[in-house]
Amino acid sequence: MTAQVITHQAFEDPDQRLVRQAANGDMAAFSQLFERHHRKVYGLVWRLAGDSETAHDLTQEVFIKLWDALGSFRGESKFSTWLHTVASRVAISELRKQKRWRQNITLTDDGSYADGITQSASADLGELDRLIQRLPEQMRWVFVLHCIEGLRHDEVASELGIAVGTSKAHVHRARTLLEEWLSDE
Amino acid sequence: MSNSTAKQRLDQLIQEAASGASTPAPERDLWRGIEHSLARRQRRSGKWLNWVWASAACLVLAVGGVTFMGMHEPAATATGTPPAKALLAYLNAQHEQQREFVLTHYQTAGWNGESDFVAAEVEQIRASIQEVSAQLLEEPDNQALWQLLQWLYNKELELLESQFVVNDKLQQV
Repeated sequence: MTAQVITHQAFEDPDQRLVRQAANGDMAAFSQLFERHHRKVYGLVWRLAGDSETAHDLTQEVFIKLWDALGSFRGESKFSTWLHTVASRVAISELRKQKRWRQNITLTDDGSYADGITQSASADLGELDRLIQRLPEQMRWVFVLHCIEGLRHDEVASELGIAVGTSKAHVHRARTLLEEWLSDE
Repeated sequence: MSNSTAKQRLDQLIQEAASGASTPAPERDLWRGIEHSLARRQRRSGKWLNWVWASAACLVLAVGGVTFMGMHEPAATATGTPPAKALLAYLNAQHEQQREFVLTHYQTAGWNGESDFVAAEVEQIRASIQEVSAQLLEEPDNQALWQLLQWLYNKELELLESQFVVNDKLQQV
């Protein structure tokens, strides 16, 4: 009982009021939530997608789906944490749909796979973001979710529908490739 | 760069990315597209359209009723007696209710669709509604006038909605 009270007192979500208003159909409140969080969502989906055009579309898709899902947010975690879960799920689901019809994956010389996405101009990107664009798709997803977003291997595995061992192997291989590419620069 | 230096550099880059220090930023305004899409879906969901359909059905019934009364009580209806007057008052009140519903539906959702052009058009339509209503008191069994009133009601609701659509498209541009 005491622990429960302490937990509730310690957990204050700065977005709580806006989420409640937006869930009741208040578009102005939803717009404020968008302002607060869209850059972080864009960063996540950009890294998952590997190109800016897809990331723009996916960010919009995430917020459109979020509007529908707000009513199901129970406040058991912080809104920003929940939003990140929604964003990664929507992004991965949409990217998988796109991949099914794209089907133009080719094997490159270094044994990795490069897909047919038109990659963004890399001039404005950070060093890491330029390099992770070169990672194969699933390896990039695992690397982003585990190393940058901080999900545990079992969470990544559950999110992507892969084995925990596969998640670990992807991270190991991604790090090796990225270190090699950094050494070459 | 040696292997250990590359490893350290990678760890540093990951830490920067995780802290949000070097996150890619969107290159265009994404909110307008989201707002437009949600507005379109809400319109399509057509909660308020149910009201319009309900009102059209009521009007048809009402016109039928007036015609029926006109056939059975020609002396009373010919001079614009209480049944037609009461019916007009009821229809106008119902239309006002729908009008308020359309406006509040968008305004509570955060859209401000003020448009001078539409406001002027709506003003004309409302003046026409008053004229037709006055004329119906004189000719309560005139079917064409009842139909014109129904058309004017619908036209005003369409115009009210269109100002939000037009405004939204202009914002997009």
